[in-house]
Amino acid sequence: MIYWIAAVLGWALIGIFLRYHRIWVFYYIWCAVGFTLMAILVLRSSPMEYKIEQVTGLLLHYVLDYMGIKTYVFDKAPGTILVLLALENSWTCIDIDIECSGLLEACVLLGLLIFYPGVKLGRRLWSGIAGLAALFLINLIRLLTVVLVLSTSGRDSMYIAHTLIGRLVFFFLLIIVYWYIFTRPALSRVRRGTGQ
Amino acid sequence: MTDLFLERSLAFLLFWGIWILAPLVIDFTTAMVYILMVTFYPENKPEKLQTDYLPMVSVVIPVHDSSATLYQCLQSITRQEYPAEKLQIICVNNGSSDNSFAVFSQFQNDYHDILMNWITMDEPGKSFALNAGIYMIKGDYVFNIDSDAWLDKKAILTMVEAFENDPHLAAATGAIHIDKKLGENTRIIDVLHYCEEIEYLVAFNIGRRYQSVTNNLFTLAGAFSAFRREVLLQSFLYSERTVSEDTDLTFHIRKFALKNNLRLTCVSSAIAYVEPISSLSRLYSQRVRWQRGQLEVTALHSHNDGFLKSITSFYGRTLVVDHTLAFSRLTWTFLIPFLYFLGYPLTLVFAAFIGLYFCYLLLDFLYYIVAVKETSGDYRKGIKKIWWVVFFLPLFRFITYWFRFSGLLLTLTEQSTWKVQNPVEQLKEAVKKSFHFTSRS
Repeated sequence: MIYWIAAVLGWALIGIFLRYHRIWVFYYIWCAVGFTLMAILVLRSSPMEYKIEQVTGLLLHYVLDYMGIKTYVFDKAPGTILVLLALENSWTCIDIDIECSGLLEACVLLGLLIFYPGVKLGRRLWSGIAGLAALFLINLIRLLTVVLVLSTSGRDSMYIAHTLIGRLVFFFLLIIVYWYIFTRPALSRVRRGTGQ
Repeated sequence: MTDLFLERSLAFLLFWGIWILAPLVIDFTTAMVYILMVTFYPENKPEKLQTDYLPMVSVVIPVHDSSATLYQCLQSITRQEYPAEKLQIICVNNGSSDNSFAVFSQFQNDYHDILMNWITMDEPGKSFALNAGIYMIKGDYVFNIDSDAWLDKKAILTMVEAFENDPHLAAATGAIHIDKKLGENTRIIDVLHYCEEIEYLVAFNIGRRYQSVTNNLFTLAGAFSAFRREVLLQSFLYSERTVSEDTDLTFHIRKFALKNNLRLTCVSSAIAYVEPISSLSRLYSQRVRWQRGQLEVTALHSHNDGFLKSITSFYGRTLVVDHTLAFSRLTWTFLIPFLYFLGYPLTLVFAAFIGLYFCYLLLDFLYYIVAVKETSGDYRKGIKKIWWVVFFLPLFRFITYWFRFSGLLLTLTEQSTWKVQNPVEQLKEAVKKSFHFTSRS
């Protein structure tokens, strides 16, 4: 515990020093990356991670049921979901862990946003909430995409569905979120700064 | 065993590296489009004029503490393969504190047969200077040249031929090269210069060529560009509201051109030379300025559009790559090594980074090969001599990415200045100050 406190204090002090001296690029890298790493270490294997995995699994279960794809979820194994593949008429187990829960990406988004100097605090707060909600939804769309590809193309497509298709869907949707959170406010601020 | 390792590396790279890989995919797609476009629509070198008549050309040169380079700049104009009596040179002094005027006077003594004017502005500012010069023009074509650039002897004639052969041409940028013997030395600073030269070559021979074909030219280079007189005089001229007055004007002229069925182009065979960058600090300062300029000009011309509307425009798409994706690259550059602590093997992390390096290397080789095809003569020999520099280009790209990222942050936090102190110097000074303060108290 003492090491944790010392690390957080050291990180914060260096962050304050860099901000005070307006060394923006080092400040931003140090604070955003540092925050992200610490958040991942704290949230990894935490009750919050399991809760997110459980809620994601449940929502996936309901949506897939609505779409006519048979699934099972288990109270004792949050984040684990059994999917009945239509093509092969067999069950496939999908395990939603930290990599698939969107938790890492949420930590990254928060790290980048909290220390972003281009946006006022109030807007950062609002953007953070909206961004996390959008990220959760996008992750759900990614998982749905993976299951749909599996369901229509069979178990052999797992690698490509999980590693490539799902990831690309996730990435391109999240870019839109990043654009609204980082790029658009920057443009507004610059526009105001240049007197337009 | 090797197969398994490669498969895992690929899976790792695709799954986690997507944050760095997707920008690479976008870079690759862009490169392919550029290269195909350049291959199918090669630049038509301006044809020789059929008549003996040559129009009058006015050259406007803003001067600010340029005593070291002004003589060479002016001399390059008088040595053009263009009749001296058809040239007018207007130097506009904006706040020089050195002996630029003495250099100008000396030049006037040495070269009598050319029409030259010197104007002194009350206040500094490159845009004011350029506009003041433009009000003095007599020529049918207006050339703007930086006082630290010098022209190839065919530059003006080539540009005029391009305009005379194409009545729809509203404005054109020349190509910028660095003035350096290629391949002679191999110190670190030389490698940096060679990287810069290849970057310029690719930017003008491929990037701007593509933009010309699609009539989306982003910037008419401030160092060397030319305008049809009536088009320039109908524009808003140069403005001080951004640090990239050349890009801002380009946006205005492009709007005018699109409305009037005109076009903007890059004439890459009309060449101006500039000094290579003297240090990493200067490179940093330059890239910060470019990034600020891009953000400022795009902000002013984008009217608070949403994402979908924004990406329908060329500059909106450019901004997504240069701004939005820059954020994802930032954290993941640091986070991918961190995945080792989440249980991934270290060799896998290394393999992922080496894979990325080779992807960018391939991309840079492609650019290099296509760009070299567009060159000729001694320059071609020189650029071929430094082919090995391509291995350093991914590193150069990586360094300039961080410089530009710093520019993004500085645009939002600091007032614009021409020169910017680099963050390493800033850090050194801050530490020194803090220790000094601590030891005194």
